[in-house]
Amino acid sequence: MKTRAITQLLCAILTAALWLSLGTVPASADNGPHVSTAGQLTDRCAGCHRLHTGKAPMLLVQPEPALCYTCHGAGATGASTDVQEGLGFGNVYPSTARGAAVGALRGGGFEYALIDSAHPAGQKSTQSNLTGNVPVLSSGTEVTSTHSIDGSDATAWGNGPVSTTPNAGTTIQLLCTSCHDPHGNGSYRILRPIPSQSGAATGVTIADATTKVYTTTNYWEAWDSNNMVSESPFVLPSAWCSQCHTRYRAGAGAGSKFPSADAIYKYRHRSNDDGPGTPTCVQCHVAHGSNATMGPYSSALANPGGTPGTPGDSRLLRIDNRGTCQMCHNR
Amino acid sequence: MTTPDLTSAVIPELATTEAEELRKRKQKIILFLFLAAAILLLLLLLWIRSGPSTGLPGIGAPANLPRYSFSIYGVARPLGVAVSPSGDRVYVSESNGPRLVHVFDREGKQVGTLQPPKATGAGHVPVYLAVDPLTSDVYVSDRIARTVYVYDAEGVYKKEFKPSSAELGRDWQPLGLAFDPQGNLYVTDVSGPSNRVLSFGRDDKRLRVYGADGQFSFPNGIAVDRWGNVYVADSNSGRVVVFDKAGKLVTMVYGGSATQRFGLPRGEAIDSSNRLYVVDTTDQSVQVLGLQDEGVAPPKNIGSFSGDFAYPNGIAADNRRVYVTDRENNRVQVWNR
Repeated sequence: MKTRAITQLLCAILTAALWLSLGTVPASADNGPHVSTAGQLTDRCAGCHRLHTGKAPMLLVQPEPALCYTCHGAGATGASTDVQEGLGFGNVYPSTARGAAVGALRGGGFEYALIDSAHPAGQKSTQSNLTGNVPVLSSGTEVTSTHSIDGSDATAWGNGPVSTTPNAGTTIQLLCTSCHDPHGNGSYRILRPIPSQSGAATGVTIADATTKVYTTTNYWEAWDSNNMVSESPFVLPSAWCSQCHTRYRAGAGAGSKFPSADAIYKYRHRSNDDGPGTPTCVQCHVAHGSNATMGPYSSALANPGGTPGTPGDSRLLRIDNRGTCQMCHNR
Repeated sequence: MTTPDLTSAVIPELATTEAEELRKRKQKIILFLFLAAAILLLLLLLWIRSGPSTGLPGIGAPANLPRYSFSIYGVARPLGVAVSPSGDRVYVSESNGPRLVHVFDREGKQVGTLQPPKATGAGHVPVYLAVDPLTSDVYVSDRIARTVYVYDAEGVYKKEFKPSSAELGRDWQPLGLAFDPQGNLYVTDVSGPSNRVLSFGRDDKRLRVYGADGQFSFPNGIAVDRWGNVYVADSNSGRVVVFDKAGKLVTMVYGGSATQRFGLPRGEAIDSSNRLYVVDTTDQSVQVLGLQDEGVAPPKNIGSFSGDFAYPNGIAADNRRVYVTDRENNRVQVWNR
């Protein structure tokens, strides 16, 4: 009996050693860019997903944003947009328009941006200036504010209904794919109609253009002229952004005559672009990251609700200090 | 009349003793085997713990796959790597921090950096590197600057490799770099309207354009074997495209095997044993393919290795080692061949 037990134990140990010596079977993988026309037998899924060995939520092979930076990171080894550096490499579509020019991405970058935020031009005092100029730097400088993309807790300022009880916003976790659909959807910048965790119900779809221009030579030009043939109305970005920043969307008189009942977001700057020459969200802010610098007053602002702000936080504004205000008000 | 067995009948204790000795002998044998297995298991576990998970080759796998040796740190999000012909210098480009090319010795100690002069402007991101086999000059691609910077073997800046518009046909965005044994330079160009691969002679004159219009989608790594065949990591197409020395398309390789297809193939290198290494950045592995019959026969799958990579990208090989940039781990892994 004792011999038999020892023999069984020996077999068990040898079996364990054999199992440990076997290598893990590498996962199969395939690749492909973001297109919405994957066929029945597409291989593209395996470029980013692993069904049983995912390292990140949504069965991703690796977490964001490192996965996205594989193509869209510094060096842009797999794309025409480098969102770390805030650079674009010519147009993308149609291919005949593709060139070798290196330009500044409209949304700025997540680590560097090329906004010449210290040299705006064309200030007016008409409360209606959509034709000024903010030039582009020859090389990027470090950003001073970005949208979060690492999945850590962040506040969607103003998210939620009007409330007489102070409520600054909702805690969410933002990733690249919170705003962009990596599977492709034919929309402008493949923006999701409803950003993840926004709580929005209806959705806003911004139609894409045949010729896409990802770069700009004037950071005061809020719209991509290939998409938006006229200056106004330009309501869709405001409608889209306010799916997260719900209580920031404001129409005429919201800054003076028609306050909201909200405890925090009571008087708000017009942002609805619902009249000639009125601003939209992206008139003042960039989407990815800004390198604008803030002075002592601008830098010391508290967050909505009163929590301490981050010194130097430019809050995605395009111009240093309060140059954004001066573009239209010029006081 | 049979002879009775008197042994056990007359001396029953003797029979019992023999049986007991046999049983004890068996126990000793079993115990010996048990101890031997335990020692082997212990050695195996110690070997596993000695480095990153190596994707152990498994029973029946070739024993000539590289083995992890050590890692070189001090680089921020490295992308490209090259090694000097003598093997005493390792060049690594970084895509974060100061965005330099770091120069290391064989032991992984940094001995210098490469960066273009201020006159070339700011805003550089060095990506891929290649070392001229005839002069040991170091070539560094910089897509943002749309040029290739050249340094001598001592790390002194020499010039930009920027062929004329006539040579290029249009402006370019150089990315992948490689030399053939004769010292001709190969460059992937990811500018539009169609990505392409260009080769240049020793006089910087363009020799050939590889790939039909629209064939490539962000070609990254290149490697040239001893027979002149060119292997292009057509990254966003998930394949390696093979051309012969006359520039004719030979075949397309979609993975190391039918079940292990490429995700995003990036850097490539060929060693002195005619093995092609292809870094698959999203699969976090390096696939190894055997080249044969002067490149006429399709590459043969040898296997793959993975060392806890977090987006490997570039690769280089010398007579004894393989170097792999491990981007999100901010290191270069060194594997012994």
